[in-house]
Amino acid sequence: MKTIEASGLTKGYGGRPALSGLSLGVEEGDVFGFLGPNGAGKTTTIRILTGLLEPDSGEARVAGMDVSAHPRAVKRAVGVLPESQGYYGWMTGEEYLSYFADLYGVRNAGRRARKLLDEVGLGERGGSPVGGYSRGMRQRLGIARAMVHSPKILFLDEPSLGLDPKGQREMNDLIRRLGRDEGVTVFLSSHLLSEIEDLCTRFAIVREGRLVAEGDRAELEARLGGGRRLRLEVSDLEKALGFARCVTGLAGVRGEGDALIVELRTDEAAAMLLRLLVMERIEVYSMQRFAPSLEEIFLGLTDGQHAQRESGVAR
Amino acid sequence: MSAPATRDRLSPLAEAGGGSFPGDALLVAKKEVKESIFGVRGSMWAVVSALVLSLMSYLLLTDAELSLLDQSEMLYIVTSLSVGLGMLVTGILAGDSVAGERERSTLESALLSPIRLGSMVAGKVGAVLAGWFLIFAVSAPYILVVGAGSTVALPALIYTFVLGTLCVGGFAALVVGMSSLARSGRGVTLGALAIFLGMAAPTLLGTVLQKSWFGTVYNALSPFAQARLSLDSVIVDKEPLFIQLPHIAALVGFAALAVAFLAFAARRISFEGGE
Repeated sequence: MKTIEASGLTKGYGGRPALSGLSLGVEEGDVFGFLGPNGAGKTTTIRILTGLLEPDSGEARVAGMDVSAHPRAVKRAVGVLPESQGYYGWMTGEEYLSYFADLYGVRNAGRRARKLLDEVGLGERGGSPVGGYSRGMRQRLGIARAMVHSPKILFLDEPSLGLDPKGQREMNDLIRRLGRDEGVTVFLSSHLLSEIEDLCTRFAIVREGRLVAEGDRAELEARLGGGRRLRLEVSDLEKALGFARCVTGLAGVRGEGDALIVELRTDEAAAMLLRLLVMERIEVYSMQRFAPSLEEIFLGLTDGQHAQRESGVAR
Repeated sequence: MSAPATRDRLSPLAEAGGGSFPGDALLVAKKEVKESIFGVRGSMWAVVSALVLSLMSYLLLTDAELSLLDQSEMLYIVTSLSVGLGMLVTGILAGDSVAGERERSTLESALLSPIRLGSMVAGKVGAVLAGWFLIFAVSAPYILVVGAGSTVALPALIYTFVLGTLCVGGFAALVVGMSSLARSGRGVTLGALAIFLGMAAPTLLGTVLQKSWFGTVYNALSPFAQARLSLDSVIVDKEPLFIQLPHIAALVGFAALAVAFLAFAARRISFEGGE
C-alpha cells in the first residue's frame, strides 16, 4: 500500500520552476532514498508532502490523506527533520522536546522527552541549554523532535548533515531500525550517497524538478545498463583501451588504475573483447563483473545527456 | 542511539492531534513569556521603564517649575508615560514575534506541528501583552506615589490599566500581524516604532494646532491620543465615565480592526514570509 503518493506536482518560485510534474510513490515501511543534485526540488517536494507548501498544481497524498485538504491531519501523522532548522537556544533539550510533545498533545510530555533524549544519545545533556549544543547534537535533537509524537512516517532532509562519521553511522542504525523494527516509513533526502546506499529499500532520483528514475537498486542499475560492467586487469592498459574502443556493444570504456573498466550493452561484447585482447597478445590477469555504485547510478542518471534522453520518463 | 518504540506510546490525545485552540495558545504564550519576559530582555525593559518613570517622578516632585503643576496633572503625565512605555515595549516584542522566528529558522518546526495558526498568533499576542502587564506592574507604584493623598490615585491606576490594555492590545495585534507577513523582524520593529511615533505625535502639537481641524483629525485617528485625552478627562478634569465613551469606542474600534488584520495575516503565515 502506498503511504506517500505525489502526482504531477508543480511548484514555481517567481517564475522559476522548482518542480515540473513530479510523481512518485512510497510503499508503507519503505526506507525511501530521495536523491538529486542541489536545486533539484528535493526540499520543495518534502515541504509540499508535509503540508508546509501548497503546490501550484498536482496532488499529494500522505497516510491516505490529501495534504492540501487536510494539512493538520497530515502533520499529526508525520515527523519531519527539515534541512536547516533553528532551535530555541535558551531552552534545555528536555524543555524543547517537552514543548513540542505538548504541541502534539502527547501525554506525559516530560517523560517522553527524557526517553527520546536517552534514545538519541543526549540523555546526559538534556538539562543543558540547546544554545551550547554542537551541530551534531542539534541534529540528534531534531530527530528526537521529529519522533516526539511517534509518527508512522518520517521525512528526513539531510539527517547526517554535520554529523561526524560515528554520528552518521549511529544515525543510519537508528533509521534502519525504525524502518525494520518499527515499520516506520522513512522518506530520506541525502547527498551522502555512500551512506544511504545500503540503508534504503527504494530510491527516486530527481533532476530539475522531474523524476528521472524510481525503483529499487536493481531497477536503477537496469536503467544504466543492468550492472553489466567488467573490470579487467591487463598487461598493457593503453593498448587494451585502444582495442576496447573498437569493440561494438560497449557503452563505455575507461581506465581505472591498472584496470580496464567497460560497460556492456550485450554479453557478446564481453566475449568479443576477450577474444580481441587474447589475439593481440594482451594478458588478462583477472576479470570481474561488478555493479555500479549508487553514486555512479546517480551521476549517470542525472548527467545532462542521460537526463535529456530520459526526460519525461516517470517510471 | 537506539530505535524508539514509536507506535505503542502514541496517546489517544496525540492521535487526536494537538490540544485545543486556547490550550495551544497558552502553550505558545508560556514559551514566549519565558523567553522574552522572564529572560534578559524582560528584565532589561523593566529596569529601563523603572528608570524612566523614576526620573519623571523625581522631576515632577522636585523640579522648581514642574512641581508647580497640579497633582492631577502630574498623575496624568505619569499614567500617559506608562501607556507610552507599554506601547514602545510591546511594539518591539511584537515586531520580533513571528518574523524573528522566521529569521532564526525556528518557525518551520512550529509550522510543521499541527498547531493552528490562530493559536500560534493568539499565544504570541498574549505573550506581548504580558510585556504590557510587566510595564504596568512597574508603573503602578509610581502612579500611587505621585497620586498619594488625592482621591483619583486608585481610579487613575485602574483606568490606566483598562485604557492601556485596549490601546496596547490593539497595537500588539497590529504589529504581530505585520510580523506575520514580514521577512525581517528588525524591519517590523522599526515600522512599529514609526507607527508609535506617529500615534504619539499629536502630543507634540501646540495648543492652537491641537484645537484646529488638523489636530482634531489627528487625535481622532491616533489610539494613543485617544487614551491620553481620556486619561486627561478623567484624572485632570474629573469628568464622568460616560463622557469617555467616544474615546473608549475609538480604542475598541482600533483594537477590533487590529485583531481583524491579525486574523487576515495569521492565515498567510508561511515559513518563507509574506505571500
